[in-house]
Amino acid sequence: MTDLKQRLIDIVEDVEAPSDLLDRTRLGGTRRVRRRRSAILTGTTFAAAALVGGAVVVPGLLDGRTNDQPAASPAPVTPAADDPYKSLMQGLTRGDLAGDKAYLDKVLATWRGSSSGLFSVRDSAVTGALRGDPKVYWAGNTPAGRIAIVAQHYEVHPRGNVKLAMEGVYTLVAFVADDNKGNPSVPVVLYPLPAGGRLPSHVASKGGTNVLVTADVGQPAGWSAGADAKGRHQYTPLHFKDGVSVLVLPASVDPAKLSVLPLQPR
Amino acid sequence: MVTRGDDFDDFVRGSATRLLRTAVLLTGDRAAAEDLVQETYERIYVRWRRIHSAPEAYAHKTLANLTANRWRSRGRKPEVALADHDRATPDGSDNFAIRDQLLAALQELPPRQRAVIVLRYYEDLTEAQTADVLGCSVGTVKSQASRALDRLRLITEPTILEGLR
Repeated sequence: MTDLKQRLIDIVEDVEAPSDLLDRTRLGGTRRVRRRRSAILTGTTFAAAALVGGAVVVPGLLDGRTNDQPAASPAPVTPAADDPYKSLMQGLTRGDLAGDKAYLDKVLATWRGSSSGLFSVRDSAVTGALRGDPKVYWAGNTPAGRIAIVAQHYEVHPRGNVKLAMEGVYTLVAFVADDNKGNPSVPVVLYPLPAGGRLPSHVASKGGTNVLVTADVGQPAGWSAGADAKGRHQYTPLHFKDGVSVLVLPASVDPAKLSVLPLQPR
Repeated sequence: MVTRGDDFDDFVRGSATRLLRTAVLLTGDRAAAEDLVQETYERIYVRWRRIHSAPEAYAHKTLANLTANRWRSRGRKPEVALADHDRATPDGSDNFAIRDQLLAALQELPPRQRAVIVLRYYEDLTEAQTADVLGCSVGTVKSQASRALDRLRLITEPTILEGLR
Protein backbone atom coordinates (compact mmCIF):
# COMPACT_ATOMS: atom_id res chain seq x y z
CA MET A 1 0.00 0.00 0.00
CA THR A 2 2.94 2.26 0.59
CA ASP A 3 3.76 2.08 -3.10
CA LEU A 4 0.24 3.04 -4.06
CA LYS A 5 0.29 5.97 -1.67
CA GLN A 6 3.63 7.12 -3.06
CA ARG A 7 2.33 6.85 -6.61
CA LEU A 8 -0.69 8.94 -5.74
CA ILE A 9 1.57 11.51 -4.11
CA ASP A 10 3.78 11.57 -7.19
CA ILE A 11 0.82 12.24 -9.49
CA VAL A 12 -0.09 15.49 -7.79
CA GLU A 13 3.19 16.63 -6.33
CA ASP A 14 3.38 19.52 -8.80
CA VAL A 15 -0.15 20.72 -8.05
CA GLU A 16 -0.20 23.87 -5.94
CA ALA A 17 -3.19 25.90 -4.87
CA PRO A 18 -3.50 29.14 -6.85
CA SER A 19 -2.41 32.24 -5.00
CA ASP A 20 -5.76 33.93 -5.42
CA LEU A 21 -7.81 31.03 -4.06
CA LEU A 22 -8.32 32.69 -0.70
CA ASP A 23 -9.47 35.94 -2.30
CA ARG A 24 -11.89 34.10 -4.55
CA THR A 25 -13.13 32.05 -1.65
CA ARG A 26 -13.80 35.11 0.46
CA LEU A 27 -15.64 36.85 -2.36
CA GLY A 28 -17.68 33.76 -3.13
CA GLY A 29 -18.31 33.04 0.53
CA THR A 30 -19.42 36.60 1.09
CA ARG A 31 -21.94 36.31 -1.71
CA ARG A 32 -23.22 33.03 -0.27
CA VAL A 33 -23.67 34.56 3.17
CA ARG A 34 -25.52 37.49 1.65
CA ARG A 35 -27.79 35.21 -0.33
CA ARG A 36 -28.53 33.10 2.74
CA ARG A 37 -29.39 36.12 4.83
CA SER A 38 -31.53 37.55 2.09
CA ALA A 39 -33.42 34.29 1.78
CA ILE A 40 -33.84 33.95 5.54
CA LEU A 41 -34.97 37.49 6.09
CA THR A 42 -37.23 37.91 3.13
CA GLY A 43 -38.56 34.42 2.58
CA THR A 44 -39.06 32.47 -0.54
CA THR A 45 -40.59 35.31 -2.51
CA PHE A 46 -37.33 37.16 -2.60
CA ALA A 47 -35.34 34.01 -3.16
CA ALA A 48 -37.42 33.09 -6.17
CA ALA A 49 -37.17 36.59 -7.56
CA ALA A 50 -33.41 36.62 -7.09
CA LEU A 51 -33.07 33.38 -9.00
CA VAL A 52 -34.72 34.87 -12.04
CA GLY A 53 -32.93 38.15 -11.68
CA GLY A 54 -35.96 39.89 -10.27
CA ALA A 55 -35.84 43.45 -9.14
CA VAL A 56 -37.25 42.89 -5.70
CA VAL A 57 -35.48 45.25 -3.33
CA VAL A 58 -35.89 44.91 0.37
CA PRO A 59 -35.47 48.33 2.00
CA GLY A 60 -32.76 48.36 4.57
CA LEU A 61 -31.31 45.06 3.45
CA LEU A 62 -30.23 45.58 -0.10
CA ASP A 63 -29.95 49.31 -0.40
CA GLY A 64 -26.67 49.47 1.45
CA ARG A 65 -27.98 50.63 4.79
CA THR A 66 -27.04 47.35 6.43
CA ASN A 67 -23.63 47.76 4.93
CA ASP A 68 -21.01 50.23 5.94
CA GLN A 69 -20.08 51.05 2.39
CA PRO A 70 -21.71 53.85 0.46
CA ALA A 71 -24.15 53.03 -2.29
CA ALA A 72 -23.11 53.30 -5.92
CA SER A 73 -22.02 56.77 -6.79
CA PRO A 74 -22.21 58.45 -10.18
CA ALA A 75 -18.86 60.14 -9.60
CA PRO A 76 -16.15 59.20 -12.11
CA VAL A 77 -13.85 56.46 -10.91
CA THR A 78 -10.52 55.25 -12.17
CA PRO A 79 -9.97 51.51 -12.34
CA ALA A 80 -6.73 49.88 -11.28
CA ALA A 81 -4.04 49.68 -13.91
CA ASP A 82 -4.23 45.89 -13.92
CA ASP A 83 -8.02 45.75 -14.27
CA PRO A 84 -8.45 43.18 -17.07
CA TYR A 85 -12.02 44.28 -17.86
CA LYS A 86 -11.52 48.05 -17.87
CA SER A 87 -11.82 48.28 -21.65
CA LEU A 88 -15.44 47.19 -21.37
CA MET A 89 -16.32 50.51 -19.76
CA GLN A 90 -15.04 52.48 -22.75
CA GLY A 91 -16.77 53.45 -25.96
CA LEU A 92 -20.34 53.13 -27.14
CA THR A 93 -22.58 50.15 -26.67
CA ARG A 94 -22.02 47.56 -29.37
CA GLY A 95 -24.23 44.85 -30.84
CA ASP A 96 -27.29 44.81 -33.05
CA LEU A 97 -29.50 45.87 -30.13
CA ALA A 98 -27.30 48.83 -29.23
CA GLY A 99 -29.91 51.17 -30.66
CA ASP A 100 -32.85 49.58 -28.84
CA LYS A 101 -33.17 52.07 -26.02
CA ALA A 102 -36.17 50.37 -24.45
CA TYR A 103 -34.26 47.11 -24.18
CA LEU A 104 -31.12 48.78 -22.86
CA ASP A 105 -33.16 50.62 -20.22
CA LYS A 106 -34.74 47.34 -19.21
CA VAL A 107 -31.32 45.70 -19.00
CA LEU A 108 -29.95 48.44 -16.78
CA ALA A 109 -33.03 48.38 -14.56
CA THR A 110 -32.67 44.61 -14.21
CA TRP A 111 -29.01 44.94 -13.35
CA ARG A 112 -29.64 47.66 -10.79
CA GLY A 113 -32.35 45.62 -9.16
CA SER A 114 -30.17 42.53 -8.99
CA SER A 115 -26.95 44.21 -7.96
CA SER A 116 -28.12 46.43 -5.16
CA GLY A 117 -27.25 43.85 -2.53
CA LEU A 118 -23.74 43.08 -3.73
CA PHE A 119 -21.11 43.36 -1.02
CA SER A 120 -23.71 44.00 1.69
CA VAL A 121 -22.29 41.66 4.27
CA ARG A 122 -21.50 43.22 7.58
CA ASP A 123 -18.91 40.83 8.98
CA SER A 124 -17.00 40.08 5.83
CA ALA A 125 -13.26 40.45 5.83
CA VAL A 126 -13.67 42.09 2.45
CA THR A 127 -15.56 45.32 2.06
CA GLY A 128 -16.76 46.50 -1.28
CA ALA A 129 -19.24 48.64 -3.14
CA LEU A 130 -20.32 49.36 -6.67
CA ARG A 131 -18.88 52.55 -8.09
CA GLY A 132 -20.08 54.85 -10.84
CA ASP A 133 -22.79 54.00 -13.33
CA PRO A 134 -23.22 50.68 -15.10
CA LYS A 135 -22.72 50.51 -18.81
CA VAL A 136 -24.17 48.15 -21.39
CA TYR A 137 -21.04 47.06 -23.23
CA TRP A 138 -22.83 44.91 -25.78
CA ALA A 139 -26.40 43.94 -26.53
CA GLY A 140 -27.50 41.65 -29.28
CA ASN A 141 -29.60 38.82 -30.55
CA THR A 142 -28.08 35.36 -30.40
CA PRO A 143 -29.43 31.91 -31.21
CA ALA A 144 -30.15 31.63 -27.47
CA GLY A 145 -32.12 34.87 -27.37
CA ARG A 146 -31.24 38.41 -26.40
CA ILE A 147 -28.04 38.85 -24.43
CA ALA A 148 -26.60 41.99 -22.90
CA ILE A 149 -23.23 42.42 -21.25
CA VAL A 150 -23.20 45.00 -18.48
CA ALA A 151 -20.00 46.35 -16.97
CA GLN A 152 -19.63 48.40 -13.82
CA HIS A 153 -16.81 49.47 -11.57
CA TYR A 154 -16.62 48.18 -8.04
CA GLU A 155 -14.20 48.81 -5.24
CA VAL A 156 -12.94 46.25 -2.74
CA HIS A 157 -10.70 46.57 0.28
CA PRO A 158 -9.69 44.07 2.94
CA ARG A 159 -10.32 44.45 6.61
CA GLY A 160 -7.78 43.69 9.28
CA ASN A 161 -4.86 41.57 8.21
CA VAL A 162 -6.54 40.11 5.17
CA LYS A 163 -4.56 40.43 1.96
CA LEU A 164 -6.20 40.75 -1.44
CA ALA A 165 -4.48 40.10 -4.73
CA MET A 166 -6.71 42.72 -6.34
CA GLU A 167 -7.52 45.65 -4.12
CA GLY A 168 -9.07 48.89 -5.31
CA VAL A 169 -11.34 49.71 -8.23
CA TYR A 170 -11.97 47.04 -10.84
CA THR A 171 -14.65 46.23 -13.37
CA LEU A 172 -17.17 43.45 -12.97
CA VAL A 173 -19.21 41.96 -15.77
CA ALA A 174 -22.83 40.86 -15.62
CA PHE A 175 -24.55 38.88 -18.33
CA VAL A 176 -28.21 39.70 -18.78
CA ALA A 177 -30.25 37.09 -20.63
CA ASP A 178 -33.93 36.66 -21.25
CA ASP A 179 -35.62 34.19 -18.96
CA ASN A 180 -38.20 31.72 -20.20
CA LYS A 181 -40.83 34.46 -20.11
CA GLY A 182 -38.72 36.79 -22.23
CA ASN A 183 -37.78 39.09 -19.38
CA PRO A 184 -34.16 40.08 -18.82
CA SER A 185 -32.51 38.43 -15.84
CA VAL A 186 -28.98 38.26 -14.50
CA PRO A 187 -27.71 34.67 -14.54
CA VAL A 188 -24.12 35.45 -13.71
CA VAL A 189 -21.84 38.18 -12.38
CA LEU A 190 -18.13 37.76 -13.01
CA TYR A 191 -15.29 39.35 -11.12
CA PRO A 192 -11.85 39.52 -12.68
CA LEU A 193 -8.99 37.38 -11.47
CA PRO A 194 -5.36 38.44 -11.31
CA ALA A 195 -3.44 38.50 -14.58
CA GLY A 196 -6.62 38.25 -16.62
CA GLY A 197 -7.13 34.67 -15.52
CA ARG A 198 -10.87 34.70 -16.10
CA LEU A 199 -12.45 35.82 -19.33
CA PRO A 200 -15.95 37.31 -19.22
CA SER A 201 -17.94 34.55 -20.83
CA HIS A 202 -21.28 32.89 -20.33
CA VAL A 203 -23.23 30.03 -21.89
CA ALA A 204 -26.81 31.04 -22.65
CA SER A 205 -29.33 28.34 -23.42
CA LYS A 206 -32.64 28.35 -25.22
CA GLY A 207 -34.58 25.48 -26.69
CA GLY A 208 -31.67 23.11 -26.42
CA THR A 209 -29.27 25.52 -28.09
CA ASN A 210 -26.23 26.53 -26.06
CA VAL A 211 -24.38 29.68 -27.05
CA LEU A 212 -21.03 30.72 -25.63
CA VAL A 213 -20.82 34.51 -25.45
CA THR A 214 -17.44 35.99 -24.58
CA ALA A 215 -16.64 39.68 -24.30
CA ASP A 216 -13.50 40.87 -26.05
CA VAL A 217 -11.11 42.24 -23.45
CA GLY A 218 -8.27 42.60 -25.92
CA GLN A 219 -6.53 39.28 -25.62
CA PRO A 220 -6.67 36.08 -27.66
CA ALA A 221 -8.94 33.50 -26.11
CA GLY A 222 -9.83 29.90 -26.68
CA TRP A 223 -12.36 27.36 -25.57
CA SER A 224 -12.15 23.70 -24.70
CA ALA A 225 -14.99 21.22 -24.48
CA GLY A 226 -13.32 19.61 -21.48
CA ALA A 227 -10.29 17.69 -20.38
CA ASP A 228 -9.30 14.45 -22.01
CA ALA A 229 -8.64 11.27 -20.08
CA LYS A 230 -5.26 12.59 -19.05
CA GLY A 231 -6.65 15.85 -17.77
CA ARG A 232 -5.44 17.87 -20.75
CA HIS A 233 -7.37 20.56 -22.57
CA GLN A 234 -7.02 21.56 -26.18
CA TYR A 235 -8.17 25.07 -26.87
CA THR A 236 -9.75 26.32 -30.07
CA PRO A 237 -9.38 30.07 -30.68
CA LEU A 238 -12.45 32.26 -30.30
CA HIS A 239 -13.12 34.80 -33.02
CA PHE A 240 -14.27 38.23 -31.87
CA LYS A 241 -16.48 40.50 -33.92
CA ASP A 242 -18.05 43.76 -32.83
CA GLY A 243 -16.70 43.30 -29.33
CA VAL A 244 -17.81 39.75 -28.66
CA SER A 245 -17.48 36.14 -29.69
CA VAL A 246 -20.80 34.37 -30.15
CA LEU A 247 -20.28 30.65 -30.63
CA VAL A 248 -23.06 28.10 -31.00
CA LEU A 249 -21.87 25.04 -29.16
CA PRO A 250 -22.41 21.60 -30.65
CA ALA A 251 -25.28 19.82 -28.93
CA SER A 252 -22.89 17.22 -27.60
CA VAL A 253 -20.85 19.72 -25.60
CA ASP A 254 -21.52 19.81 -21.88
CA PRO A 255 -21.47 23.46 -20.78
CA ALA A 256 -20.47 22.37 -17.28
CA LYS A 257 -17.19 21.06 -18.65
CA LEU A 258 -16.48 24.01 -20.89
CA SER A 259 -13.30 25.97 -20.29
CA VAL A 260 -12.53 29.41 -21.70
CA LEU A 261 -9.05 30.80 -21.17
CA PRO A 262 -6.66 33.42 -22.50
CA LEU A 263 -4.46 31.80 -25.09
CA GLN A 264 -1.38 33.68 -24.01
CA PRO A 265 -0.39 35.63 -20.93
CA ARG A 266 -1.41 39.26 -20.77
CA MET B 1 -18.30 35.65 18.54
CA VAL B 2 -16.31 33.71 15.98
CA THR B 3 -15.59 35.72 12.87
CA ARG B 4 -14.11 34.62 9.61
CA GLY B 5 -10.75 36.23 10.20
CA ASP B 6 -7.24 34.97 10.46
CA ASP B 7 -8.26 31.49 11.55
CA PHE B 8 -10.30 30.96 8.40
CA ASP B 9 -7.50 32.36 6.27
CA ASP B 10 -4.97 30.18 8.03
CA PHE B 11 -7.12 27.13 7.46
CA VAL B 12 -7.46 27.84 3.74
CA ARG B 13 -3.80 28.61 3.29
CA GLY B 14 -2.78 25.55 5.25
CA SER B 15 -5.09 23.08 3.58
CA ALA B 16 -5.66 24.39 0.05
CA THR B 17 -2.87 22.59 -1.76
CA ARG B 18 -3.62 19.30 -0.06
CA LEU B 19 -7.34 19.59 -0.76
CA LEU B 20 -6.70 20.59 -4.36
CA ARG B 21 -4.45 17.58 -4.87
CA THR B 22 -7.15 15.34 -3.49
CA ALA B 23 -9.66 16.95 -5.83
CA VAL B 24 -7.36 16.44 -8.81
CA LEU B 25 -7.10 12.75 -7.97
CA LEU B 26 -10.86 12.53 -7.60
CA THR B 27 -11.67 14.32 -10.85
CA GLY B 28 -8.62 13.91 -13.06
CA ASP B 29 -9.22 17.50 -14.14
CA ARG B 30 -7.27 20.40 -12.65
CA ALA B 31 -9.77 23.07 -13.64
CA ALA B 32 -12.72 21.11 -12.28
CA ALA B 33 -10.75 20.37 -9.14
CA GLU B 34 -10.12 24.07 -8.56
CA ASP B 35 -13.79 24.83 -8.96
CA LEU B 36 -14.75 22.11 -6.51
CA VAL B 37 -12.18 23.22 -3.95
CA GLN B 38 -13.27 26.83 -4.17
CA GLU B 39 -16.89 25.83 -3.72
CA THR B 40 -15.88 23.65 -0.77
CA TYR B 41 -14.18 26.59 0.92
CA GLU B 42 -17.08 28.90 0.17
CA ARG B 43 -19.41 26.48 1.96
CA ILE B 44 -16.99 26.26 4.86
CA TYR B 45 -16.87 30.06 4.96
CA VAL B 46 -20.64 30.19 5.36
CA ARG B 47 -20.63 27.64 8.20
CA TRP B 48 -17.38 28.68 9.80
CA ARG B 49 -18.88 29.54 13.17
CA ARG B 50 -20.20 26.04 13.60
CA ILE B 51 -17.32 24.04 12.20
CA HIS B 52 -14.23 26.12 12.92
CA SER B 53 -13.06 23.72 15.63
CA ALA B 54 -12.79 20.83 13.16
CA PRO B 55 -13.00 22.10 9.61
CA GLU B 56 -10.94 19.32 8.02
CA ALA B 57 -13.63 16.67 8.36
CA TYR B 58 -16.24 19.03 6.98
CA ALA B 59 -13.94 19.86 4.07
CA HIS B 60 -13.53 16.21 3.17
CA LYS B 61 -17.26 15.56 3.34
CA THR B 62 -18.11 18.62 1.30
CA LEU B 63 -15.54 17.87 -1.37
CA ALA B 64 -16.70 14.27 -1.60
CA ASN B 65 -20.33 15.33 -1.93
CA LEU B 66 -19.58 17.98 -4.54
CA THR B 67 -17.50 15.51 -6.51
CA ALA B 68 -20.28 12.94 -6.34
CA ASN B 69 -22.75 15.55 -7.58
CA ARG B 70 -20.43 16.32 -10.45
CA TRP B 71 -20.26 12.66 -11.37
CA ARG B 72 -24.02 12.37 -11.26
CA SER B 73 -24.37 15.44 -13.46
CA ARG B 74 -21.82 14.15 -15.93
CA GLY B 75 -23.51 10.78 -15.93
CA ARG B 76 -26.57 12.34 -17.50
CA LYS B 77 -24.61 14.03 -20.24
CA PRO B 78 -22.59 12.29 -22.90
CA GLU B 79 -18.89 12.87 -23.18
CA VAL B 80 -17.73 14.44 -26.42
CA ALA B 81 -14.44 14.51 -28.20
CA LEU B 82 -13.43 17.97 -29.31
CA ALA B 83 -12.36 16.60 -32.66
CA ASP B 84 -15.96 15.71 -33.40
CA HIS B 85 -17.02 19.26 -33.81
CA ASP B 86 -14.06 21.52 -34.17
CA ARG B 87 -10.41 21.43 -34.95
CA ALA B 88 -8.41 22.10 -31.88
CA THR B 89 -5.42 24.38 -31.85
CA PRO B 90 -3.07 23.60 -29.00
CA ASP B 91 -1.85 26.82 -27.49
CA GLY B 92 0.45 25.75 -24.72
CA SER B 93 -1.87 27.02 -22.02
CA ASP B 94 -2.40 23.56 -20.62
CA ASN B 95 -0.80 24.24 -17.30
CA PHE B 96 -2.82 21.61 -15.58
CA ALA B 97 -1.78 18.51 -17.45
CA ILE B 98 -1.43 15.50 -15.30
CA ARG B 99 0.15 12.86 -17.40
CA ASP B 100 0.28 9.85 -15.25
CA GLN B 101 -0.99 6.50 -16.17
CA LEU B 102 -2.27 5.77 -12.70
CA LEU B 103 -4.34 8.94 -12.79
CA ALA B 104 -5.90 7.78 -16.04
CA ALA B 105 -6.53 4.40 -14.48
CA LEU B 106 -8.17 6.03 -11.49
CA GLN B 107 -10.60 7.77 -13.81
CA GLU B 108 -11.64 4.36 -15.11
CA LEU B 109 -12.86 3.37 -11.67
CA PRO B 110 -16.46 3.86 -10.59
CA PRO B 111 -16.73 7.09 -8.58
CA ARG B 112 -17.24 5.44 -5.20
CA GLN B 113 -14.26 3.15 -5.65
CA ARG B 114 -12.11 6.06 -6.79
CA ALA B 115 -13.10 8.06 -3.73
CA VAL B 116 -12.26 5.19 -1.42
CA ILE B 117 -8.82 4.79 -2.97
CA VAL B 118 -8.03 8.49 -2.75
CA LEU B 119 -9.32 8.96 0.77
CA ARG B 120 -7.74 5.79 2.14
CA TYR B 121 -4.41 5.81 0.37
CA TYR B 122 -3.76 9.47 -0.35
CA GLU B 123 -5.55 11.22 2.49
CA ASP B 124 -4.62 8.44 4.92
CA LEU B 125 -8.09 8.31 6.40
CA THR B 126 -9.03 5.23 8.36
CA GLU B 127 -11.74 2.97 7.10
CA ALA B 128 -14.11 4.46 9.66
CA GLN B 129 -13.24 8.02 8.65
CA THR B 130 -13.63 7.15 4.98
CA ALA B 131 -17.01 5.60 5.70
CA ASP B 132 -18.06 8.73 7.56
CA VAL B 133 -16.98 11.02 4.71
CA LEU B 134 -18.74 8.92 2.08
CA GLY B 135 -21.80 8.22 4.20
CA CYS B 136 -21.50 4.45 3.99
CA SER B 137 -20.54 1.54 6.21
CA VAL B 138 -17.04 0.38 7.02
CA GLY B 139 -17.86 -2.86 5.28
CA THR B 140 -18.69 -0.98 2.11
CA VAL B 141 -15.38 0.85 2.32
CA LYS B 142 -13.54 -2.46 2.65
CA SER B 143 -15.34 -4.10 -0.25
CA GLN B 144 -15.02 -1.02 -2.48
CA ALA B 145 -11.31 -0.75 -1.74
CA SER B 146 -10.79 -4.41 -2.56
CA ARG B 147 -12.67 -4.14 -5.85
CA ALA B 148 -10.89 -0.92 -6.72
CA LEU B 149 -7.47 -2.45 -6.20
CA ASP B 150 -8.48 -5.47 -8.29
CA ARG B 151 -9.62 -3.19 -11.09
CA LEU B 152 -6.49 -1.08 -10.91
CA ARG B 153 -4.42 -4.23 -11.30
CA LEU B 154 -6.41 -5.12 -14.38
CA ILE B 155 -6.34 -1.76 -16.12
CA THR B 156 -2.82 -0.63 -15.39
CA GLU B 157 0.33 -1.72 -17.11
CA PRO B 158 2.77 -4.01 -15.32
CA THR B 159 5.01 -1.17 -14.17
CA ILE B 160 2.08 0.50 -12.50
CA LEU B 161 0.71 -2.81 -11.34
CA GLU B 162 3.69 -3.35 -9.08
CA GLY B 163 2.96 -2.27 -5.58
CA LEU B 164 -0.80 -2.43 -5.80
CA ARG B 165 -1.05 -5.17 -3.26
